Amino acid sequence: MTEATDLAAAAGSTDPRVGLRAVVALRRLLEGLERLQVANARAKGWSWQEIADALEVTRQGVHKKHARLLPMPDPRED
Amino acid sequence: MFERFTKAARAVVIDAQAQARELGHRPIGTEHTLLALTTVDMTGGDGAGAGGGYRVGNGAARVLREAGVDRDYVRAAIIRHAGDRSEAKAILDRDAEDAAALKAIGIDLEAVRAAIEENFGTGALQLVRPAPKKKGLLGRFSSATSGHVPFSPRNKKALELSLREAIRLKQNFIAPEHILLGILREGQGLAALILAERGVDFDALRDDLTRSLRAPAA
Repeated sequence: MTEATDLAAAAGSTDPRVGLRAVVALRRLLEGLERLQVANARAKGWSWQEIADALEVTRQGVHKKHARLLPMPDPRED
Repeated sequence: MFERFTKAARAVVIDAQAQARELGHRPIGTEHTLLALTTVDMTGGDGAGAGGGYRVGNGAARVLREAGVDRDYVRAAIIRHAGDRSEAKAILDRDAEDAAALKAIGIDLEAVRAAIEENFGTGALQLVRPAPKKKGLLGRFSSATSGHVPFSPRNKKALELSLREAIRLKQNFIAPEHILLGILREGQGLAALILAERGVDFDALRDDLTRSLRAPAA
């Protein structure tokens, strides 16, 4: 997997195991990026609607997926 | 209920898992939650520890410290009771497998990670591996952090009692102080034993925690 030729071969591989494994890894990366960026947007004061528009999904969808991962503000911190 | 946990309270629950994992213990008991309560530091900019800013994040740590219970003491007590089975964990291996699979389609995971960490800090990017669907409070906690270590029934009970404590105090948020109140109310765990061994007065501790929760913002 170190040579460029190996990479190219793997990328075009017709072996489902190789291709599907790449899909799984890509999904994990995607979900990680999404969490990071949604949290960042919320921290910067974006509304759920604004985030949903940017992600091209519904507000309800993005809220359902991410709201529980983000902390409730402690009222004493204001 | 989970939605009510403050940032500091979430950090405590997550850190309890980390503490148990680091010690090689399972399940996660009240003692690991207690250890997390003494460990999680939400001081933010107030590094000097000068009263004011400190209390807000994790007041439970301050109250415990004033009662003579700090992280080193709790950790030593846990090891004395339950032993130390620390082991390096295999999360890195699984990340390495994903990195290899991504490399096969021309994505350099380390390059992606480096670009993100440049702006968001070390450890900002975590590959998401959804755990099997679990119901209820603790399922949510453990799937949120890829933990395979379950919470003990007693620890779950103590965390659920933290909600009861918040309701009793007519507060709509659950802070670290509530978690410790939950542990005290449950009363049967290793955490309570460790506190008792230290000679902590439970009633006084409860009063201090309640005072911390009711103190106005600095």
